[in-house]
Amino acid sequence: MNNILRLPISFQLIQGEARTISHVSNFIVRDDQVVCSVSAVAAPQITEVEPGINLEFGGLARPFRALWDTGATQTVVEPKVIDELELVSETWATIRGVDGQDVDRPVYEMTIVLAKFPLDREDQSENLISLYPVTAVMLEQNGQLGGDIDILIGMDIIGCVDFALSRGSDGETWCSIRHPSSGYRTLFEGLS
Amino acid sequence: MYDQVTDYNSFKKQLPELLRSHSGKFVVFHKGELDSTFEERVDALRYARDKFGLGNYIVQEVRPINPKPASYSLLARSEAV
Repeated sequence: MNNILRLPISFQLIQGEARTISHVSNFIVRDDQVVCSVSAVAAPQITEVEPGINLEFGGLARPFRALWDTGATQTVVEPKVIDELELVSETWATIRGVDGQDVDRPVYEMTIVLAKFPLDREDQSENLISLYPVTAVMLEQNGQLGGDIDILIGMDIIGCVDFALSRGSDGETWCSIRHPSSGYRTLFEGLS
Repeated sequence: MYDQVTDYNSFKKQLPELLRSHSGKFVVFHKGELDSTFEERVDALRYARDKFGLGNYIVQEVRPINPKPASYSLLARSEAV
């Protein structure tokens, strides 16, 4: 059974603390493309900002390609993500790598923003979901996740949101992500 | 560049004793030595950043190390190759 859901959504990862009220984003899963993002928004409010970085979003922001993996316990990133964002580690962890060996790796804290990219920083109606803090372990080398994937989104993140796949009347497969979670145990609770 | 590997190796070496004395606490290691302990992670980070500069230390929660696969899917894939 393949429990990897390949969603090449454009992500932005940001160093620094950000807080946001967020709602629902919907994406059509179509071959290798995710078209459209959706609904309400609140721009991140920066609570703490490192000097010399973009004030509006609290840090460097770059788009990356990610894999949503329900078989992953921990979110991991390739070294190029850390390099591009100029992140600094403050904690380490021992994980079992993709080759089955236990390795000691640095852990990084970041914000993951689900949004259409490029993010229009002036447009407050832009749909986005901001997840903070996310802790991600850096892999030993680039290319471990496969050619075009930079980040493996694990259950440490997926388990914090409402995450659903559904089939629309048009035959499209939709992925919906809601954060914060509604608190319902199933899709049908709370529906009238 | 600051050597966090030394700090983490020292933390792992001292972990059995730390589990007896400071389980659940957050410890700051600097230059391979246990510097201080805190109840809250954010307090440990704030202290360490101020005292040593960003990244010149590690902050670890005192709990058993129990490595889990980063991804069962990718692990299964690599074993199948």
